[in-house]
Amino acid sequence: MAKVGLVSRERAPLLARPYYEAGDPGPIAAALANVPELMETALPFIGTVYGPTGVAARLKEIVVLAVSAGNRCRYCTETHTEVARCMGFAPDELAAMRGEAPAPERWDPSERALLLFSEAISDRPAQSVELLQPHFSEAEIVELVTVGAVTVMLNRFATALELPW
Amino acid sequence: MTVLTQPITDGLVGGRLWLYSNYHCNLTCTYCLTESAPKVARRELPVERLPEIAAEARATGFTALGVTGGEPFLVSGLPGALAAMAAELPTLVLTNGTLFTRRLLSDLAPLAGLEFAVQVSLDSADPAVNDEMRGPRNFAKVVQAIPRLCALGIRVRVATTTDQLAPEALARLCDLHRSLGVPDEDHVVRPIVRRGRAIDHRLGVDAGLADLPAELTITADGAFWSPFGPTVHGGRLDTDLLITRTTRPLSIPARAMLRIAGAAGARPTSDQLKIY
Repeated sequence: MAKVGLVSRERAPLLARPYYEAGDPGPIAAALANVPELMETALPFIGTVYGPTGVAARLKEIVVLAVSAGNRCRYCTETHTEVARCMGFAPDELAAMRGEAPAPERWDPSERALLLFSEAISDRPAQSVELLQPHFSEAEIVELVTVGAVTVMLNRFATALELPW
Repeated sequence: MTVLTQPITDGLVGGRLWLYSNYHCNLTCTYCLTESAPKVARRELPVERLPEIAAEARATGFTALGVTGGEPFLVSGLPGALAAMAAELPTLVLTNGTLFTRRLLSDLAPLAGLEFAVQVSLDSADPAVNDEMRGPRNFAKVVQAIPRLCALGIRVRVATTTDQLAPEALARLCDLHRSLGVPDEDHVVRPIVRRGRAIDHRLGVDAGLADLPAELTITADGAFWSPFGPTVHGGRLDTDLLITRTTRPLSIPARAMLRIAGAAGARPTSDQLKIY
């Protein structure tokens, strides 16, 4: 049970209502709806960071799941394991991203670097970027760091509030 | 010219900014929107904050202020705050009319001549009918208070909240308020809205976003769409008409309300439910 009320559709504040139109918006949105002005800005930001951009969705999902597993965020790890499975990641890839196995040998150096980056960003952020530099452009690095940083924020949010998965 | 000037002129949003000074009350009315009662948890805007909001309201483009609760006159220091507010904008305070002791009347005397009015609740000319909903001896206290306020030179309005009022009962009530010194233009009859305690008593009419005027309402819990918004049911604050938790600066909820009103295609506020 979450540590705060998860706002139901019937109780959704005015600014939060659009996020309920397609059904249950999920625990992160339902928790944020307690402060609708935060929801109104945070969700589009998160959606932009996690959505289609110049960096391939597959690479971003490696970061999201690996960072979440490294931070032991159960909510984010379980939900993004499902997301990654739906995206076509194989079981050995999922195990690697969850920190349960080494990276598959077929992964290219940039994907392996992403896994190491994801392990480092929470505890050694400055060094983590150095792992990306041989493989990615500056724009890509900024984006990947943003994906990682947003994931860290959501890991803390979900873990602190004990959001159900 | 502020961001609110044209929308208020066009009737898209109301010009009056409402403030819930507090939620507690010395009465326990059957239809109370906020389940107010003597022992509810104290949730109030700091009294020194009220004039600050009034000044900000004027700068933001609001044209009038309203104070409601709870029973506002349970808040210590309210008369002084009301005087400071009325110096900024025309101010209306809603009250159950039961607390006007000689001391309080003396404290209110400086407000005579300002753009200030007191709106007293009175639901029937029949004491038994009135007191059944509003509590024992309510009628007697109210009919005593109104002439005393009028005698101070303070404008008094009478608000009647009713589920059904027969024409003859309304006529008797109007005879009564006139006899107390309140003219017809200062008598407002409004329906019970089925929120708060009215749900439990199956009273009133349902009202949602489209039925309620866009009148920004500031409370200790945040900013709401209408003074009918920050209702309480089962001891829990309703959030369906919450706009923002942020109330300072006032421009944040005001701009959010404008966006919602625009997106909702809000009707002119003159067509909708009002509590004054």
